[in-house]
Amino acid sequence: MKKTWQIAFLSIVCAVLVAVPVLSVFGPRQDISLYENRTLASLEPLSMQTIFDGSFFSSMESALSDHIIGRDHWLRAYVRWQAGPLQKPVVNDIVLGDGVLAPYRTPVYEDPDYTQKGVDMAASLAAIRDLCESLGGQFVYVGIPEQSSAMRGHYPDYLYSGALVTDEVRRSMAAGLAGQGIEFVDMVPIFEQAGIEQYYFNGDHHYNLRGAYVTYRAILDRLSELGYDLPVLLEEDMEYVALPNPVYGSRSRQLYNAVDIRDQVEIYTAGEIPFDRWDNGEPVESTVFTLPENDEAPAAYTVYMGGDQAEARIDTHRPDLPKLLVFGDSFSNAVETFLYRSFGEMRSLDLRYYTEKTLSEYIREYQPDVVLCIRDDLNYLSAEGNGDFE
Amino acid sequence: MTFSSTVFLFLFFPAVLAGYFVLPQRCRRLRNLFLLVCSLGFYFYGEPRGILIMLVSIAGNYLIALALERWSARRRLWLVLSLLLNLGLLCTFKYLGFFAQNLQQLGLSVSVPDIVMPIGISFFTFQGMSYVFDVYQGTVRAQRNPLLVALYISLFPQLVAGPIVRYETIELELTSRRETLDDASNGMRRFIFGLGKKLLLANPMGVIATEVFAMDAAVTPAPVLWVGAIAYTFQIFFDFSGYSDMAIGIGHIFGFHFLENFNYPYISQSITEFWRRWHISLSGWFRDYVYIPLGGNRRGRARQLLNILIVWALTGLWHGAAWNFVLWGLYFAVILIAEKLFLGKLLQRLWRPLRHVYSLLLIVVGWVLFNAGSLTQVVQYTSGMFTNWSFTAAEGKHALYLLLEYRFELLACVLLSMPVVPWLARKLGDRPWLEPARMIPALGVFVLSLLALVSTTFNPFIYFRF
Repeated sequence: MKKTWQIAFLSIVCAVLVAVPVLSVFGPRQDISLYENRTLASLEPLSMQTIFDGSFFSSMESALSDHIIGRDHWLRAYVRWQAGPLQKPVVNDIVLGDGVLAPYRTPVYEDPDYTQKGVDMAASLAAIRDLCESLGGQFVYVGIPEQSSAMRGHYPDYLYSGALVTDEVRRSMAAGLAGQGIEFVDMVPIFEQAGIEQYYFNGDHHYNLRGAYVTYRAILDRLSELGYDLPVLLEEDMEYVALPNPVYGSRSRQLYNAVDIRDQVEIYTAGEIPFDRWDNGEPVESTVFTLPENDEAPAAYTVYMGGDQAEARIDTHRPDLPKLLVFGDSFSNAVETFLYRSFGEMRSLDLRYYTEKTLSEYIREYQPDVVLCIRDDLNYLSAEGNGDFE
Repeated sequence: MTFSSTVFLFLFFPAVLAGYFVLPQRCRRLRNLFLLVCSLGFYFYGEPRGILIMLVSIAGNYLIALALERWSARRRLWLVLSLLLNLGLLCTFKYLGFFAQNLQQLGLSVSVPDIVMPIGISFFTFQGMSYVFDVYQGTVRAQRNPLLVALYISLFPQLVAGPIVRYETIELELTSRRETLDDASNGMRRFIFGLGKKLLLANPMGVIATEVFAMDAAVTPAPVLWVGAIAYTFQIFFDFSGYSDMAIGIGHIFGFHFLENFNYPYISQSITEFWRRWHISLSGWFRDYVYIPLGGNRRGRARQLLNILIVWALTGLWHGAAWNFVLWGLYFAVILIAEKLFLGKLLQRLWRPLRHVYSLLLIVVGWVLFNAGSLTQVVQYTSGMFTNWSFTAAEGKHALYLLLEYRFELLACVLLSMPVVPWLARKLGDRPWLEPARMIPALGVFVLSLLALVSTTFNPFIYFRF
């Protein structure tokens, strides 16, 4: 009896050890991970150099891990094990709040003081503002709370939400902008007035289309105060349409969609304004919504403007209307789906990817009437990516 | 290659098992040759450039041991040559940069060489030295077959993170072992439980420790620092003892019986007892090859204390080329000396739970010294543990979160740090249903370990850096 059990045990273990690599090699191959939004690792070419510098062997490790049979199922099962029986409040660095997913943050025990950083960032923005004004344009800075900053109340009370630091970042940025006299549309009070949570995804770090619309209206209100007479898309002239597709939010993807989160990606329909569009200089389909292939395909925030583009250009062929330049983080994508309707031409730059010219060169060449910088409050003071204006 | 990697588990291990057991049992030489080739391949995978160093160590120790027997009149000379070879390799590849850095800090114009330490050099060098020492002392005969010396030093289960196996332990098994179903089954079970210790307990504890040790200890609340220190205490135990379990388990499968390396060290009632239970193969090595040759306790109390200091400074230095490791070694030397002089007797009069508290407290603080990145962090962290008790309620809650997030792992760590399993086994005796009762939890741990392996990226082996 003992022998039978021993043989059975060894057979099961050895079968798993052999079956997993065999099935991984001969099973269906996946080159891209939808959940992780990345290309899966592949083997380095075999050569004396890659063997002796260790890169071949380390690529073997990552390639096998990435292409292991049923990888997505393993990953999802692990999340379920952590969130279910183990009841962990944080899984894969995501806080499993009450229906809202937020990032886990390591506490900062020092009292933050970002005054100087706010002054420095505002000084850099003032240089852009001065350039715009010298060309007859208007510069406006638009600040949007990031999802976890907006929904900070969903952190369990024993977890650090980062609110202290974010509040200090917001304060120092507002003070810096005021010090430089830069026009600032702060979306925090506007969102809070109407109930901030309705404007956000539960499982993604962005606001939703309704949040983007409120932002659009706030921008146009400010431009109107500054003397611009622009056509406005009114709420009664549009209709929100929810896509039936499963939503792959940035945070729910981190949990391999193993945790139930209620989210919907919406688009809107409204009276048509014909336009042409170019992405990175190439003509593309004239649409601001990149829809999934079918109703089962995943939908994400990248529906808006097709995700981050180094340069996107939309010409509505209405030369009587002002020209707009938008630069900033991915929060600009959703609001751009509305903004183009109010301008003759809209261009948007993502400075993380756009390398052809400096921002100043671009402005000098394009000579926009309005320049918007749109950033989220977690990145207000970051001088990298969209905060690097050189 | 670590045992808890996909390449080891799903490529190397099944391939070695298949290749080894396909060869007939009577072809012992062929099986040994196969194991040797696999062991060299195992090392080459992780350290393609370092394999030459290991081969030099193998060849040198093999020849010196032969010479020791052949020209026994000059035994001391050969011994010195062996020391020069092994310590020369160790000093060059592990300590040269550290020495140069210190000379530079003293104001001397010395350039710091950029040398990458080969994985496991401390382990295979110590095994090579122990072989030559044993031949020198006459406890074993020099091995004529170079392949067997190479197999002894490079045997992949214990190659890069121990345990440090004495030649005499496996001398007979190298040539005349028997692989049995009992050994294979027990070995596989041991391997799986070791894998589980590493992936399901040490790694989660490592996540806590890494997070807390990365914080500014000067301002971090004491409860958080304590949770971090305790987590590291568990991490290093389950990491290293898990690795030893895996090594011993794989050894069993191939018919080798390595000695135990851990014996529930955290149940110790004194630091002297702790070091009899922790990394037994290293403590035994230093006792037999350094402490006793230095005179041990045979040359009076003063000399004994000096010997303890030397041994522990070396033990610290063996763990890493940095001052915090030396400090860690000396920290234990001072406690061991105190226990020898007066504390031991006092402890015996103490209530037993208090003896455990005493030991655990000193062990936890010891691991802080061990894990700190610098002497400044040592001071800030240890002082913070006792002084940073002024914090807001919100700040203090971070410790609560860590305890909540890892409550099951912490509970398992506490239970498995105590001899609960052997106690249960004793109670249950040898019943017929015990075999499946042993296998089913092992299969459960196996599945969970594979889940954790595929799903997590945090998977460092602490003792690999030695």
